[in-house]
Amino acid sequence: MKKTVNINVSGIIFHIDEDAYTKLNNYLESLKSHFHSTEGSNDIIDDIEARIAELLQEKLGQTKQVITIRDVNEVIVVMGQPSQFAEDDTHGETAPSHKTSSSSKRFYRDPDNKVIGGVCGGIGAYLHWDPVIIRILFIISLFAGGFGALLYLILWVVIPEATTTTEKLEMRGEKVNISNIEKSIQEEVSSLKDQLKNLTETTKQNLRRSGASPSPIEQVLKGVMEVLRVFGRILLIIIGIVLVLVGISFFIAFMAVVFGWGGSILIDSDVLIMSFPSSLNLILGCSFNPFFIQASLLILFGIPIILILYSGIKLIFRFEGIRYFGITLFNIWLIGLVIGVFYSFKIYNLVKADATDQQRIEITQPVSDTIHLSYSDWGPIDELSLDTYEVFDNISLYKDQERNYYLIPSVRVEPAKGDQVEVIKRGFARGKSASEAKTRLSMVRYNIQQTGDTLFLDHVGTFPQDDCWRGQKIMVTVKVPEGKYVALSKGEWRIENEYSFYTRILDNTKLYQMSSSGLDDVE
Amino acid sequence: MYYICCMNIENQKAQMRKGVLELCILSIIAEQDAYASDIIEKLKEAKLIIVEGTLYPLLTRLKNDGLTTYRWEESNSGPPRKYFQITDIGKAVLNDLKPGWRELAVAVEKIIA
Repeated sequence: MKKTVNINVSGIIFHIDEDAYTKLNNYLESLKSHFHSTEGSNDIIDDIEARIAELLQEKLGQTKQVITIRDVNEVIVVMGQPSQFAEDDTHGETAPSHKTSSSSKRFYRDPDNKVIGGVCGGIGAYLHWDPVIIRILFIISLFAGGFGALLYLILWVVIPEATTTTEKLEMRGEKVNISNIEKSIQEEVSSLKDQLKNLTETTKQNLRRSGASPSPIEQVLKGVMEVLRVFGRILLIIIGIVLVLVGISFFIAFMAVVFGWGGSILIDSDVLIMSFPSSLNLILGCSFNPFFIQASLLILFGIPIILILYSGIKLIFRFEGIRYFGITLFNIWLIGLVIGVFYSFKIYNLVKADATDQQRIEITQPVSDTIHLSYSDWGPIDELSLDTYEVFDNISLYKDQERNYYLIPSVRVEPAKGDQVEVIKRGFARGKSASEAKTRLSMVRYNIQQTGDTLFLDHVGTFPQDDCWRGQKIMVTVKVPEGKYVALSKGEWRIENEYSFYTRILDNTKLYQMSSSGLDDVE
Repeated sequence: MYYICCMNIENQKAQMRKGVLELCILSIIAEQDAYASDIIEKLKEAKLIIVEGTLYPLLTRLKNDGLTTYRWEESNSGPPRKYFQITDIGKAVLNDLKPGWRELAVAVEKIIA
């Protein structure tokens, strides 16, 4: 038993099964949307309806009074799908009708709902969200390093404005949400079921007609392809979700690095930690504004991330691509690459030359067998605040009243060749030219002083803050004759001998004896 | 590969048919007043159309261009029928198109023969 409805097609009344009615109605709707922009569309639809009425009339007879879904399907095959009108290819079979309605959604800027360029309004219309939410998100993103502003400008340029009514309708399209995705999958699964059912029926018929016909095999293959298609679709959605998640995590990581979200990054486990912006500023700040480098990094890494997100979202929601999206992004990426290469050369130019400086410090030979090595006071830095410094390589960023940078020296104690204690101070710096590097090196302040048998080494070297970091280094070598004793005071020292080669932090003064291989412990 | 090549060929055939379809419809109507089913019958026989839906936009266009006109006629079974007939303009256009087509057909035949 089936429920039937009465319909009036071109002035003739038909009894029609409910499912057949739905099918016929959908078909007529798809025709209307196909012809809606054609001249005389009403006439065309009327003519087609009249013809459909004629064809349906032929299906009915004395014993058959109700139009079934099979009749409707046959009529549709005779009349053809809208897709066939456009191309009129010779495939007699009907294309699945749900394809026609969902593919006409596009991304437009909304001119009726705009504050600046209508981008937020367009996104809102596309996602069926309140544009206010999108606007708030955009405003929030402005505080996160201006990324939102850049994105807005790009979208403003890339996305066309919806000017005609058709475009405005396309802009809204079908709602994109989880339940619709579910619906579209369900539709595909049920159409698959229908096709399988049809397949078995036609196969049976074919078998009855002629056993040797090749078409059953074709039909089975087609059915298998259908199954694969639906599984493929589900797989694509899963891949899309993975892509979106990957894109989001890349985005967060990238923002954290470039804009110093979360304060600092770990460069190496024992060398601390300096946020990307301040290291960039330390290296480039004195030469030019690091803005363009940041922008080019943003483009070079940001665009691939946007593309990952975009293709993920596209796989999930299956919307029609934004016109020229990929090529536009690629062009912007190329611009970013050009800027990046340009600045790479610029940076290379800043550091291509270097200068070294070696100086023997005159000292009076110690009276006793023991020479004391000690670090002088930290000066303006007090130890309590040490862990709040930002450290990059061996530079400690600390701004005192004179706004200096602090350079941590590397100190080595080695066996001397003769019987004299020697102290050698070496410096290193880079620059545009050898003379610039030399000037830079001369601005590094580092002192070694002697009081009796004790050598006081400055705990840190300094260079002025209006200069910038170009690999400045201070290396101090103290050469002590074999057999003599070295007393190292509290602090960090590098102990080298036959067996070890490491840095040790001493809490109290400790005595070592110089051997041919280095400093040995004294019991 | 097989599918790609053959779908293209079918598509090209369809394009060729499309070009001459209006000429054929006009000729059919010129011979005798006809309603959609008659025209469809003849075009299907000649394998010029595959689905009937293709025909209706063309009929409407011919009518809107003033090449044809129509009258309603009651039918014993089904809805009243639209009988199309050719206008004077239509006849003139047809007289222009026919030799044009013959020339084209001869020329193409010469080249591909």
